[in-house]
Amino acid sequence: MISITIDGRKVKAREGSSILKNLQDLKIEIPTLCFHADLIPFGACRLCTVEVKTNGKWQLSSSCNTNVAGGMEVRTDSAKVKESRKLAAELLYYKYPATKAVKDMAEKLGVEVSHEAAEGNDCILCGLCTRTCHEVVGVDALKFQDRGLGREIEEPKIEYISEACIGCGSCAYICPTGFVKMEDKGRKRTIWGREFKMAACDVCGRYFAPVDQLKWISKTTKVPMKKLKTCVSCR
Amino acid sequence: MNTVSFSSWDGKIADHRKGKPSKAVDVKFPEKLDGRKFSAVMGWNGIVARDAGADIPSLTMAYLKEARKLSCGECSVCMIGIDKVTDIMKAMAAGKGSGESLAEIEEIARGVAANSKCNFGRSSALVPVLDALRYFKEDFIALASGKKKLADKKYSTAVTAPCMEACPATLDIPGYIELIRNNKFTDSLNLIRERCIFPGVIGRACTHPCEEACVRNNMDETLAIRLLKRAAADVVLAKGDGALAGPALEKKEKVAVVGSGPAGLAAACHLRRMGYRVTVFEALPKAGGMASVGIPDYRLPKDILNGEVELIEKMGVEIRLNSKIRRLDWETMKAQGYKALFLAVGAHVGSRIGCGGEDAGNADFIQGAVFLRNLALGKKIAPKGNVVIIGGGNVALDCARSCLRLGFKEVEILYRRSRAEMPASKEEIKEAEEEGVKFTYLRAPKNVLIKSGKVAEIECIKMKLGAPDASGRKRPIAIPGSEYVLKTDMVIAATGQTPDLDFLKNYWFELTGWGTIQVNPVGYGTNVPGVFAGGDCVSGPATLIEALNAGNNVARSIDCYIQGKSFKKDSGFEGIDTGKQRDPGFVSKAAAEKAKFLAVSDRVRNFAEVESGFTAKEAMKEAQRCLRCYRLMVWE
Repeated sequence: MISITIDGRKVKAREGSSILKNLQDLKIEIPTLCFHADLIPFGACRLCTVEVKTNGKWQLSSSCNTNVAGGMEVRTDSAKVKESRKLAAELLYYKYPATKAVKDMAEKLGVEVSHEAAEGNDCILCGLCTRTCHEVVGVDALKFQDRGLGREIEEPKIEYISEACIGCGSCAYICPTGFVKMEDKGRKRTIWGREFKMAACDVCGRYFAPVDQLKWISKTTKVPMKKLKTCVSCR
Repeated sequence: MNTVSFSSWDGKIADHRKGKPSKAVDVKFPEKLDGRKFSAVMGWNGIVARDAGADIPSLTMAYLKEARKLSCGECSVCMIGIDKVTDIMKAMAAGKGSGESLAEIEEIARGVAANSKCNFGRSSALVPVLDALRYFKEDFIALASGKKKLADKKYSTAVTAPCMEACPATLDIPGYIELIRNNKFTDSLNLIRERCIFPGVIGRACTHPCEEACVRNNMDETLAIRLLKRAAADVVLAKGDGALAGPALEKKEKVAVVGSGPAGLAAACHLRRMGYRVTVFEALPKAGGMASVGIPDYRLPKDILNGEVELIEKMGVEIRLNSKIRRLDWETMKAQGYKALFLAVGAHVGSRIGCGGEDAGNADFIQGAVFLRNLALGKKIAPKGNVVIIGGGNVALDCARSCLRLGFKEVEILYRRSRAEMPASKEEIKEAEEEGVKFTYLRAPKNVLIKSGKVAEIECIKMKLGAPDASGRKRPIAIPGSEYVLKTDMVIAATGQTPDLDFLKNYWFELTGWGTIQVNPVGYGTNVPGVFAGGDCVSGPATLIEALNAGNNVARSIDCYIQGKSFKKDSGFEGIDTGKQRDPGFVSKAAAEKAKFLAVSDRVRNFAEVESGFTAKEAMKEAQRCLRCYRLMVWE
């Protein structure tokens, strides 16, 4: 354990842990839109920004992907921190005014918002779906479209690799804005515009998971398909 | 005279606009961009205006447009910040700005610079816009009040990064690293191959000057750029993927290339992609040049090289092995339909070391290049007791480490300067030391004694370092009377190589003082029309990546020659320190991923690859450390 200072308070922190993890353990509320405890931090939303004292100077840093170091001094509620978070939320709201998660966050951080109901579902490029697909599911069906030198793409977006997708729906579950839409209709699931055949439970007959997903689980865990075709409730 | 009207470059203000004539000031910025004078430039590190009347608001708009293309959009502030500033500027120009417009732009620009995830957002994105607002405020107020209009002019743009500037072939390093980070290994490989047709080879054997320039060096440690490139190649090629895209359109013109090394094959590959029919003539039974016969297997397994050569052949480049050109007959070749010829024969002849016994022709007093070539071509080399290697470059080290693996008992390197001046790469020196190569510095050979047909002794003399010579390194000076004798069974001379240009005798080719081919530095053309040259036979022994760069440029130059266009090099950042950034902000320290190495005891037994690469997961993790230091400049 190492000793760090948060808002003037000396606390113990586990070496190698992120600043955000320590703040959450201390029940200090930190806004986030791209963070999930089970995923590698991404630092995309810039809302969890805190100030870290470096060479005698306070500097901004995203707390999710900054690890603590012995003697580190952190400020979570300075005027600069609040302004930075507010600007990040304001910019997100500027681009995605109709997205509820964004509007709510902006309002919470002091941005003046419209009274009209937010009914849109924009992708805010938080990377939760791509990370889930890669780190948790492991099929890599979702990837960031890259931009850079000579690659003139109008708007960055998430690329869907249809042939890699198993239809598990993890991306729809994790998506904070409702951009990823999934619809189950009996023997059919539709996600990212692709249809998946659902498997019916051998015992109760309920459609409970896409066949492609069961095949994937069978392939990676070596559990035979026959066993997997019984739903969790009937096992 | 370097005169400017205004400069905020590097955050240093030089303002000569207030009625006074502009005068020469100490502004660390070149007089010309792309070989031409400019009126005003906006870049990641500030604004430089040469003319007092430069239109900064219009330049700012043009800059924002280019910045938007480079902003990846992955963090919330940078891309949307650029969008919002652009919208405010447009509103101002349309007469819809408010009194707070400028303050609003400033707030966004400050926030983006302070809170962006990467160095693009922290420098290039909006930092110079802050300078524009601060020092050209009247112009922006005039814009908002309708007194000024935004002009739609043509601007020049250039993008680089500190790592790209250091790379001899200017690879888009942040670009291919970003693709790895986003789990797009095939796209990354294809981006690398735009300027480096041998990613697997270069990912192993490059001297990686990019890593020296990496901005992270000032924070924790460099990004493992070389290993990331290797990962792009390994992950894709191991699956048998990664075919090179052939030409979209076939051309009827033929091009001949002499030499299948990195320079020759790079040119061949790019010319083929442009649609030309390319034939490569190779003297040796193997393709790859020095990558094939100069770098031992433990550093570069030959299946990696062969795999990459095969991909080039599959896209339609014809490589004729064992086809040494003994006398160049360009007239006949032209009659056969070849429109251009590229000489890329490398530098395979060892330089004389000026030591007694050199001309005796003993098989155990051998040139390093010959020794390595023999080894690569499968010639049996019986191990001896002691071997002394003369030289301090990578060839000397490759010979020494190969000798250990062949079973030589004692391997000693003699170098005439000290370790600090040694041109070999630090990694190679360290690995050689670990393996047991003995290094003796400040020694030069005087005489090799041959007794009853065998190399028996080498007489050496001690050296000391004097004043720096033309190369900038301290000149070694012999200490009279310090001679001594070493017993040895073999001597390898590895102090440099020159090209074998005997085959050019029928023509008069202009040569350099070093015995290499003289070319036009821009287009690589020789004095013989239609004949180009590049790689080691022009530069003298250099790195693989420098040879690849020559090949890349020659391909474009030959294309221009055949199509009757004029060849222009990429716009450069000469005279501009791309490593400089006003406020790098806080960067969370993170150690680089490390490659695994074979245990020393296992290494010296055979020629198995010493270093292993990253897995896809390790590569993606390391790629996260890239700060994406794209530097943008827009000028008129």
